[in-house]
Amino acid sequence: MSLDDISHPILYSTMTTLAYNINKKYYGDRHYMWCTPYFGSDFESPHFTVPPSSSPIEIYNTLKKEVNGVDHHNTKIKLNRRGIRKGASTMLKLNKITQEQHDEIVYISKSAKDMHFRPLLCVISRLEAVPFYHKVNVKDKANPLSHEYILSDLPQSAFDIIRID
Amino acid sequence: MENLSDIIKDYNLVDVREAFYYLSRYLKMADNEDEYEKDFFEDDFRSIPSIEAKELTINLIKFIEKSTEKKAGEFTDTEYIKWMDEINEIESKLDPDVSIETIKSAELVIKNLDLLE
Repeated sequence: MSLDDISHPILYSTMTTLAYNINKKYYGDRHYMWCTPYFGSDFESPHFTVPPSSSPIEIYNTLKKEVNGVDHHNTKIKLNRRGIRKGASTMLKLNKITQEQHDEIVYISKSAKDMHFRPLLCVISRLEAVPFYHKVNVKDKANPLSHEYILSDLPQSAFDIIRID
Repeated sequence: MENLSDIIKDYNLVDVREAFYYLSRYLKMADNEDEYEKDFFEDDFRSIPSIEAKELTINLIKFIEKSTEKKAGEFTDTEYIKWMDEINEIESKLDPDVSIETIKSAELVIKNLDLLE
């Protein structure tokens, strides 16, 4: 379903503080994020139609545990470090950053401390997001109500960031 | 015995980085594959993975599932973490050394992040 066609006024996404700051500094304060109209809590509900791994609150809580040292594996933080490097590679290919900036981002992604991966909840106005969205395809036999969207180049003016402690 | 490093050796850094990224997504999403059937290659529409990166991703998935004799969706948490750690270990060492100037500039950015905390 298109982002134009859903009735939810708000979209949610979780990103790390480091990713947010890299977007601000190197990508002109334009942000790339996966988002959903479901903040997420009850996975059994027929109205909650994104996988747990895509639930903003699940991602938020997982990152928070890793940053606070409750979960020592840090799988999510490591995944985010790799995502930042892959993002830099994409931006270099698109000529949006220089090789030097790319190398700097890669270095930062490796050297940043775990605390720099503190989660941020992004609260996005759906109407503001429409021009920046890309629908995530879900195969026909999957849940037809599954709503996930990719936003690219979303300006900071289209969303708020919140910390839940 | 073959390992992940052997499989990536004939590919360039960009393709290897992309392949590890999509491989990680595949492993992460494997639990819910049957219900949601998301395409793990689907991502930023401005950056479609190259044919080589896709091919390498598939080869890495095949290698992992063959060596463990199970599909990723059947992995235990320990197996999932083990593979993710192995991917991270290799991927984080792909880049050549950077200049002193780049390091200094990057360290300054990190220092400023500390001030924001």
